[in-house]
Amino acid sequence: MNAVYAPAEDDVVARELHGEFIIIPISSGVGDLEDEIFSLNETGKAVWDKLDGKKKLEEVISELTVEFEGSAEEIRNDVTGLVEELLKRKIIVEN
Amino acid sequence: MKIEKAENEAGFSNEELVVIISAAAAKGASTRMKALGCSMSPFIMGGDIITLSPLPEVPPEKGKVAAFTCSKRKRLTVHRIVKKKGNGYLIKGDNCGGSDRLVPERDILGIVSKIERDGRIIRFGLGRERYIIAFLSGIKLLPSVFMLWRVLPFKLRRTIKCLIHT
Repeated sequence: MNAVYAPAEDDVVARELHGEFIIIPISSGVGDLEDEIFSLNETGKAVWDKLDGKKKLEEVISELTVEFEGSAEEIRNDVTGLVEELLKRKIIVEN
Repeated sequence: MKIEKAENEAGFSNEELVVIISAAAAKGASTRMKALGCSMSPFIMGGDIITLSPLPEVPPEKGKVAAFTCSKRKRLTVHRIVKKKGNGYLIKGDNCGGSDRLVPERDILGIVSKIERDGRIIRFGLGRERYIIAFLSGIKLLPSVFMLWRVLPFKLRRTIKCLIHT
């Protein structure tokens, strides 16, 4: 929980488009609109915004516990699940 | 709180594509996307997959196919550079009558570096023959050449293509 994460800046294009937060992975120097494109819902976007390469994951979870409804345990599980998924897809990196 | 595969069946809007291509280019990345319309037919057909390489990695030159946007409308267009004129480029669709306009270099988002059709890479139209295509397009003779090309026997067309690419 002391790990610090940040978007893989050089390897993704992330933009809010028509009210949806879209992530396009860049693979071998190509952003492929014909391949897998990902989207984050509102809470996912809130996590993304906090993964700034400075905050520890524990701090991110604490802040989200204040901002969102739900038990601390639920939020912790959701955040760690999302972070694992983003790491697996190389959309974020550990600093 | 989850990551999902984005449903993009309707495709991105023209404005959204401009945002995505510009963002990818700012990172030095190319964008692979589906071409729409028939203004570049027969070299690029609707449904072909094109790869746009960013400037200055691939510089805009006569005969190359450029993706550009109009500063005011932010509308994405993919047409061929017919000639350089001052600080801009005269750009025209291979299958269009008039020129688009004089496009300043800052409005060019990328250059088509690859065309894929039904899983095959299409090279004809991006090689050295692009100079001839741009010249014919500039003097408005391209439609007549297309008509002539279509009536040539298949073997002769294939031989011409091979000669150009050797």
